[in-house]
Amino acid sequence: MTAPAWTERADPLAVRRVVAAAATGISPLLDHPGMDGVVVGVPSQAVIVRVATADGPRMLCLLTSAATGVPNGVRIAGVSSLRGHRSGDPVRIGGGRVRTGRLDITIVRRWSSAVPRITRIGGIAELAATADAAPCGVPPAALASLCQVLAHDGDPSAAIDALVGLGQGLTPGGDDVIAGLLTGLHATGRGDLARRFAGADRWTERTTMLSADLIRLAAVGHACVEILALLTALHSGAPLSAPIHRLLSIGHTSGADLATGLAIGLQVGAVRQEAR
Amino acid sequence: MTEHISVRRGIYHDSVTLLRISQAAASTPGITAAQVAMATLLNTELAAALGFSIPDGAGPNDLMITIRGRDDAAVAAALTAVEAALTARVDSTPSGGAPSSGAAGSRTVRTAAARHPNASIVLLSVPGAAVLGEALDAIEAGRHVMIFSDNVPIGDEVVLKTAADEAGVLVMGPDCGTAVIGGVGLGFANLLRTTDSGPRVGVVAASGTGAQHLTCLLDDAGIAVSQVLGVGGRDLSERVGGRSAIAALRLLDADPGTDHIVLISKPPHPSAAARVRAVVAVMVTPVTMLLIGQGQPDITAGVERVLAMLDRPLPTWRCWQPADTARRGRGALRGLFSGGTLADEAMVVMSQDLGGIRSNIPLEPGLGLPETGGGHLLPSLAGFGHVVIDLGDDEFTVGRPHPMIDPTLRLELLAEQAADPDVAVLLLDLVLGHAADPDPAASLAPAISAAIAAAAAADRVLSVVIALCGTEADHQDRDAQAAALVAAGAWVFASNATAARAAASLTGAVSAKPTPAVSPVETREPVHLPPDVLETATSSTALALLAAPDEVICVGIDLLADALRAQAVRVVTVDYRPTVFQTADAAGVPAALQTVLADTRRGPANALAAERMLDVRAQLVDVRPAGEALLLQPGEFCHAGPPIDFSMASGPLRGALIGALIFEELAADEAEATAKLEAGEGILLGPCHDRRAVGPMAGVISPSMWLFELKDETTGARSFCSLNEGLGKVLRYGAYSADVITRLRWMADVLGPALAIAVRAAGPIDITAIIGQMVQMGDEGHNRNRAGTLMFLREILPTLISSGLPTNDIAAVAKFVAGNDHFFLNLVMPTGKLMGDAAAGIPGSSVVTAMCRNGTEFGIRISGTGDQWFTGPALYPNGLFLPGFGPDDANPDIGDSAIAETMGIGGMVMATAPAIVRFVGGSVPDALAVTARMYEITESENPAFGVPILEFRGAPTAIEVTRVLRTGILPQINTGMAGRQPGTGQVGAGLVTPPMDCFTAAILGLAAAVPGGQC
Repeated sequence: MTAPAWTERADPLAVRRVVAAAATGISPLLDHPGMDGVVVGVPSQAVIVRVATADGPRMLCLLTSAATGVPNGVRIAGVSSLRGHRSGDPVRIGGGRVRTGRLDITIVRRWSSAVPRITRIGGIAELAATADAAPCGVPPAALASLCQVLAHDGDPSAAIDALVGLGQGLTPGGDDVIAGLLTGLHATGRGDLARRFAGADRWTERTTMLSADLIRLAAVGHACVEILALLTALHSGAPLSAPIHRLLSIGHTSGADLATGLAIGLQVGAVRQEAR
Repeated sequence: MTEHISVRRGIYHDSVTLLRISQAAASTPGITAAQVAMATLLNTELAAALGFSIPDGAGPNDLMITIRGRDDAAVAAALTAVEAALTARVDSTPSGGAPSSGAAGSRTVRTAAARHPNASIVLLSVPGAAVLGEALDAIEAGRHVMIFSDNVPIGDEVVLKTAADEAGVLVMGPDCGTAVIGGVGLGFANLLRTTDSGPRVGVVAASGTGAQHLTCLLDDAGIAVSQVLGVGGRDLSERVGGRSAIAALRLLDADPGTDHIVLISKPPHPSAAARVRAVVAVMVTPVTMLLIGQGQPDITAGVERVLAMLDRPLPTWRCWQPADTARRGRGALRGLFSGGTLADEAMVVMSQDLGGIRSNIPLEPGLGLPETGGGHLLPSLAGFGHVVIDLGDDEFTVGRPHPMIDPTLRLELLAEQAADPDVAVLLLDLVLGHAADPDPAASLAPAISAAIAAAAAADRVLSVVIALCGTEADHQDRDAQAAALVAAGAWVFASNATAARAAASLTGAVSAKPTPAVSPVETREPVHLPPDVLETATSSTALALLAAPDEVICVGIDLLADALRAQAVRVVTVDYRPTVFQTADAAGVPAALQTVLADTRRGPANALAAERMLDVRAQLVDVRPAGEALLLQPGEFCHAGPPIDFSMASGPLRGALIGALIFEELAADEAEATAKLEAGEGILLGPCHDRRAVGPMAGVISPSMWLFELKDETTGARSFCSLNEGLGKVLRYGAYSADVITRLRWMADVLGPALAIAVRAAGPIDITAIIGQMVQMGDEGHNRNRAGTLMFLREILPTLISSGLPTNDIAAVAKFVAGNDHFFLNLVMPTGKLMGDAAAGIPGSSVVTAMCRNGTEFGIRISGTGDQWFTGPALYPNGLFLPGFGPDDANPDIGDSAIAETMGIGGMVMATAPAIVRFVGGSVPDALAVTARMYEITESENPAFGVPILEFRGAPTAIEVTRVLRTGILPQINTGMAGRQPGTGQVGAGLVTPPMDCFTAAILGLAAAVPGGQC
């Protein structure tokens, strides 16, 4: 007969060996021979790990099957809970493995979190309208000033700075808008603008560590799988309702804020494309 | 030496599992030979070759265990190991659902898909004949399907791909060995690089090993592969017309992560090629067509062309040389391939130097190998000159794992060829990657050493050349594999074409022929279309295939599921078990099942049948004598079940008819009644079902009996059922003593008229609503009707009391109804009759519209075949007996009451009345499991009859014949048991199923009714 479910917890201190897939956004961390990290947060569907590198702090998220597919994520197959991890726990990362006190994770597969270049964005109006209709995590005024400066081809640094850390949660709404914006620029082939708008890692002190890392990744062209699926649908001309709905279901308002930023980024990128 | 040979019927395990069990047995100390395998022709032949004598009658559905060992003890130990391994398989029910849900693993893809909405891909590796049903389930659930299985009829392939086009999903296969989706390898696939920069190539492959070779060379050249969409080797045939290739090309064209597309295939049929080219012409992404065949460039040349188009430098393809490269022999070449396309390509390349090469997959018809007589499948190649064998071809994989998994067959042939004095060169492919042998060199290298040494001992020089298909990242460690093979004396090449050229030159043959013209690689350059020109048929469902699947539904070979788990993919397994039909008409059943499954009318027809069943709103409108309601004339009697003569009638039916004659005053006693019934004069028997009526147990209705009359509010249809007499010694159980007759008279004189007055005064009583409530109150509506009975009494009491009838009569009626917990059964049954009749007569529908038994035979009716009965012998219920009775007293199953299960309650909703399973010593989880199982064989769920413990999930409704046959799950029926001797009455109650014969007969009838189908 099959073993009863509780036997899985028979030894609460045992380290489980598991396999996982990782986003290419954190390939530099995983391919490194070995670095020490520390657990800095344990939200319900993830374990957030910080790693200090020569280039500055980097984040890595251990994900359950239900968590958002962030570009610094390590998704563990078939795991629905990551209980037992605590902030402050040491983590060893490198050589294609991640080891916590509870899990010994071997990365057996990578998924590309790189934002593809898309050439067809006919569905952008639908995206913008749906994002507008969804509850937003940033004040309309902050958004309006960003849109205005972008529309007039101005320097958006101040408007972007005003958004950083604005809002609540692990990834404040303003940060999500910025990440979406940078992703939209990459998708339309204006990665140069994304890097320029993002500048150096100048926000690490002004927002959460996770959020700063996601903006950093967006600036170099990495996004979550939910955004990548939406970009694929946009490019292919397929109906957008399913991928938009999936994106909007991220977090409290994160999905809507990402979508708002993405729509702005795609429009700006497309317009500046033609202007070039 | 001791030998053990045994054959077991009706046990199925996939060939890879059996290989593992065989290996476990063979590794038992003292064992010299062991094979545990399905008794296919090939496997019996292999066993015969090992010197075992095969029992007569062993067939491909039987498990054959052959063990030879030093002594009895060793063989016994090996058998114990086999038993343990086989039992472990049976007991390890796949996990699925919460532990407390009582739900076992899914038995079909439909159930698994419903439980796992995020699993976007279904991977099938079940036997070919079982593919159609499972794949259709997947397509209907909007999932992409990869069909690894071979031996699938091409007609099924056309049916599946047509359905897939309509549903916007992709069917990869049948016989699709390889796919890579979002970096996840399905089936045989190599571990390819994932990079974020540089161009990415997407592959559409009508050839599994061709795709593996292509992607490995691209990987060696530093190019990332976005997707590999397999389509199956026959997709570009005339009949299939490239349906999947076209869908796959469109999908990759829509993928922003694919910059260049390669289509790899054997040369397609011209009509399919034309269709494909028409699609390619309007695509935006550049396409390279690699068609492996004579006059066509080889795969390596094709890859080089792609690299040139992508402005990438040409690498030097890897090759590993043995220490002694000077040794050359002279003689014939024998190629032993596991990959069909690699074999094909090698023949094309080598035929320039070697001329015609004979093969089981010849380039030209004249080069085939002669048919080997006596069913001998292992080819004897002596004297045939240059020969190439594809060991992955269907003929070698019936009941055996693919040679990429199980090297046994190839190693045997390798030794045999090495001993052939004509042979100078052996050419093999070796494919690494997911699902392939974890360390192929471990067995191949010693075999090569031995072969070379054996040839040397015979003063011959034997060269061995290997095309090694793999990547640096493959878990077998390509360099280590190559090193082991080279150490054994082999030449190893990463390019199959290079390997083939080397092998040809090592035969010592020098081509006299001029190099034939080779067509340039066919490409379609990038097209820059304005964005709005793109006319896309891509759906959201289709695009879901481009992302890495986090969850995959697997049916069949465990090894393929394990390969996915090793890639951090969540795997949902379906507990597939083939049904073995042991009925008299079994031979034609599988073909008939295929015919009915392939009938495109079936899906919509079944949906309509179920909808009509669920739409029925049954109302009690009147209570009338049967003479008036059914126009029954004196001497006419209705009975339960399919038609039957009195001479064939079982005890309870005889007893009930005797009692009915006495009640109708057509006979004074048993003797007279029996004589009249045997003579048959003035007596007419017919099924209740033919008069829109139903009757429990013997179901005998005579003109003077009063009936409930029900009407379907939706359609106006009507149905009838007798009034329930209570339990114990009653007519319907075959009793006819004086007290039985007295009760019947009271029912006709008092009960019937009183109910008629009460019902007419109360107005129509909504029986469907009462049933909906009773199944939430612990009644399942067949063996337990207590809540229903009380609710009915509540409905009629006011008008009964105000009827003006004598108070004594009213009290007697109320006491009778309240004192008979089964009174409401006779209102459930005509409701079921209305539901069954509503679903009847829809062409193409395989939904069961009636189930009933006459005590001798069980009969069912199917919507698509109208009034036709499909019968089989009624079974004996299993259950509890009343004091003083035992199994020897029971009659076979009897009564129309299985209409309750036909309508989706009774045994179907056992979960709502767990007390019933205690008849057979069962527990609450058993009751839950019964209902969970019933969902596997029903078309729909009835929200009007919700089961509270299943979170008010609707009752499993509309039993469907193909699902019964696919799963072997029979409807669960709860029933009473009648005594076999006339006059006995009830002896117990229990559980029973219809015989499988009803369903095998039904599928033959349905198949005969399919236009253009089999007869």
